[in-house]
Amino acid sequence: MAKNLRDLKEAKIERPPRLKLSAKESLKRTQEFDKRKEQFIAAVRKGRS
Amino acid sequence: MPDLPHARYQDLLTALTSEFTHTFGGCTIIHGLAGSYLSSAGLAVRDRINLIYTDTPYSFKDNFEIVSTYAHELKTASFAALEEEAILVAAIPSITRHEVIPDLVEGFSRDSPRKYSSVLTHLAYLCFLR
Repeated sequence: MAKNLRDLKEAKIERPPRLKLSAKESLKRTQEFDKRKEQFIAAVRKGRS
Repeated sequence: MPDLPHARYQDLLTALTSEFTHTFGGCTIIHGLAGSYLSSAGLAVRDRINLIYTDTPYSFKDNFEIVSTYAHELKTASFAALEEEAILVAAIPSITRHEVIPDLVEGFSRDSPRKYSSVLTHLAYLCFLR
């Protein structure tokens, strides 16, 4: 038990590094919203019942 | 957007979070803001609001049409999903501490040694109930 607690204290919790989107990729994704539109609407509508 | 205990509002917030994270690499949500609006009966009604916003990593000025179209598409999709009577999506250019466009800042000198680069765009999403 004590060993497990020590292991917990020594465990490192690291935040995953953020993926930095390039301006070009972000612009491309902005222009492609129409491809995701139906999925976006469906995601909101599923909670309407 | 209204912070109402209906699943559709929570789902809209989740959908917008996913959308902004996918498109711009992340977003910020401020929960529990206090709001007030004038009801149809003429009375002021207090409510709770969530604000979700994100930054574009590209120039607002150079891509105005694309950002404008995107904002319009978001509005259309949100309207189709919620069937609200009034939805507003706002794309607002803003200045960050390290990035300045002289044309947008009154009295800013072009000769300033401050570094110029693209201004991040704050894309704020606002949804109002009438």
